[in-house]
Amino acid sequence: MESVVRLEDVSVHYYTFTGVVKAVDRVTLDIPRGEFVSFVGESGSGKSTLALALLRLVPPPGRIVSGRIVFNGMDLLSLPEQKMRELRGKSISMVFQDPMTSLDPVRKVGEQIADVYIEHGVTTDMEEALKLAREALEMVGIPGDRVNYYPHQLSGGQRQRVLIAAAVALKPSLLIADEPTTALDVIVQAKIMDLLEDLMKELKMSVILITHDIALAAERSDRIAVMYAGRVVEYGPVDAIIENPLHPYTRGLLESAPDLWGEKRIKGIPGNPPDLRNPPRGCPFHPRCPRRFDPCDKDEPEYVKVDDRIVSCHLYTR
Amino acid sequence: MPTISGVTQQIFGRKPGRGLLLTGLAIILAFVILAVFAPWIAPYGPTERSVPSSLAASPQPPDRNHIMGTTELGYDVFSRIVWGTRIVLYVVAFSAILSMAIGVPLGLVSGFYGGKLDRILSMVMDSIYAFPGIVLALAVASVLGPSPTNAAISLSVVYVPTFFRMVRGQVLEVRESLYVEAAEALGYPNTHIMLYHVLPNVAPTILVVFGLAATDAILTEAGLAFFGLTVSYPSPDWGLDLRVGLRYLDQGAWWATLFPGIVITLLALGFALVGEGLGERYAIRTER
Ligand SMILES: Nc1ncnc2c1ncn2[C@@H]1O[C@H](COP(=O)(O)OP(=O)(O)OP(=O)(O)O)[C@@H](O)[C@H]1O
Ligand SMILES: [Mg+2]
Repeated sequence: MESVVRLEDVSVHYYTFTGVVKAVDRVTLDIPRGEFVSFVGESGSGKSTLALALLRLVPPPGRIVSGRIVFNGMDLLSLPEQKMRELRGKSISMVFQDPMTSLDPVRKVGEQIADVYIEHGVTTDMEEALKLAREALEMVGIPGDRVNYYPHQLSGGQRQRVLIAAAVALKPSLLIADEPTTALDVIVQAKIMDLLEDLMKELKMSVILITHDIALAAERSDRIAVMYAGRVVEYGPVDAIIENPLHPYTRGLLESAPDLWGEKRIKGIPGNPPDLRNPPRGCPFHPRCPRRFDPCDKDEPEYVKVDDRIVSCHLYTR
Repeated sequence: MPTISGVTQQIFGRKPGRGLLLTGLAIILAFVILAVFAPWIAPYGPTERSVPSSLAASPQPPDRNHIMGTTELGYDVFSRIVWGTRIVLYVVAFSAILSMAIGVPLGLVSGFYGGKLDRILSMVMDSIYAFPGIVLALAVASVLGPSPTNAAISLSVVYVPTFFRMVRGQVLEVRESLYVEAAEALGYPNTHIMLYHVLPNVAPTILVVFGLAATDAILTEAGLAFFGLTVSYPSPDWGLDLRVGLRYLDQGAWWATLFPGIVITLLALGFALVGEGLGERYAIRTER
């Protein structure tokens, strides 16, 4: 199975005044080409940081401190900045959570899409770029004549479509969507997700979806990566994970998603995620884990392969 | 990019601060006309003895031929004010433009790239900013020597930090915005982000600071002139005329100080109104 991007032991730390935040901690996984992979986890588990690391856009005081990110055979972390910039928007694109503020309020949406073609050297002619922008808008289901609209003249869902249009304009091989629908209502949310799936097939892209909504992830993805305290604690095909979650945290997340597991009462997970400046010894989840036992508060669990899944939990380490 | 019609719309459109802005611009325009058409407007040359030599030993009060009176050397006060507009506008415009041309790019770069450069620049600018403007301008002007251009340069030293601080602050704000993050994620180079996102957002601030700096420059220029650091007498300059006029104020010659004082205040008011009007329009808070 060919992968579009492969993470090897990637760690990202924020060097804050109050300590080092290990936002992403030794993450290793493979994203197969052409698949829809969701990263799921509570707020602060490091999902956005991981996504930004893929683009090498982790903001200061954050830094990618170790690991390798191999994208289409290239080691991204050793590319010169100029080369990396060329990849952004062209080979790897990202759409963000808040379509209200991700567009420049003072420029027409058509121009903002046209910029992609100009800045990446597809054309130097603004007229030509605007024509392409029109086509890109139509591809995401917005009438082409809206190129002359300002962002405030569009609804939230339409703005997100504009951002998606800009992101896929150059047919990237990987699209990262960081909670693209949290700011939108449920119906619009479903339509945007449909759009992402359609574009994925049409453009033969891989998609990484970042969400805290495991039900949404289960509905749309081929694969799910569950993040906790900067670690990917479980990663595998969606069906296997939903039917038989291996990690107690994955199980907890599923139990707190009512529509997914039928009639069962919402349980939730007692306790709070740890402070990433000072994570607990051993497995980071052990203070909240209903199944913790001897080694959990002493040794950190290694990744274990169980069928086509990887999991980081002492229940499986021997 | 902003278009010409967009800019006129910005300035003259029915928006908050329109009255202040238009009044201010009208005052400034009036002085520009005085400066440009001085030879036609002024009844006499700036250093022309405009009264019979029998009267020239003492200043004469306003009359039909000299609407603002004359000085002790027989110069026509009104004519000197008209000619003096040229020096004042030259020094003020030169200093405001020069300080903008230096302060804005430095603020942009400093705020945008951060790091060591930003820290050093901020420290230098803050220490200049901490000096009282007039003291600093006087010190620099005395080192450079008296001339209108040197006066303008010393005034620029005072206002560069004002532009720098305001622009840098705005850049930091814009840089935090999600659309800049989105632009970076699309692989846009820094020049794109500066040109399309940062500059349009800081442009109103730059205009407001320009108004403030020009206002202050008029008053400080008068101060420099007062101490003879722009032109030397009898070349016409409002601040200098004010000081010379003071010498015979006790002889009851109020006109030789009052009128230069009024025009200094009026022109300063013009620029202040423009700054205030723009500030109100864009809801920009300013310090200084
Ligand atoms: N700029 C920053 N400076 C310092 N710490 C940061 C910064 N950005 C994120 N962090 C910290 O890194 C950790 C991971 O944050 P991240 O935003 O990646 O989480 P997330 O999973 O995307 O959360 P959410 O669901 O709220 O978006 C958090 O503990 C957060 O406080
Ligand atoms: Mg996030």
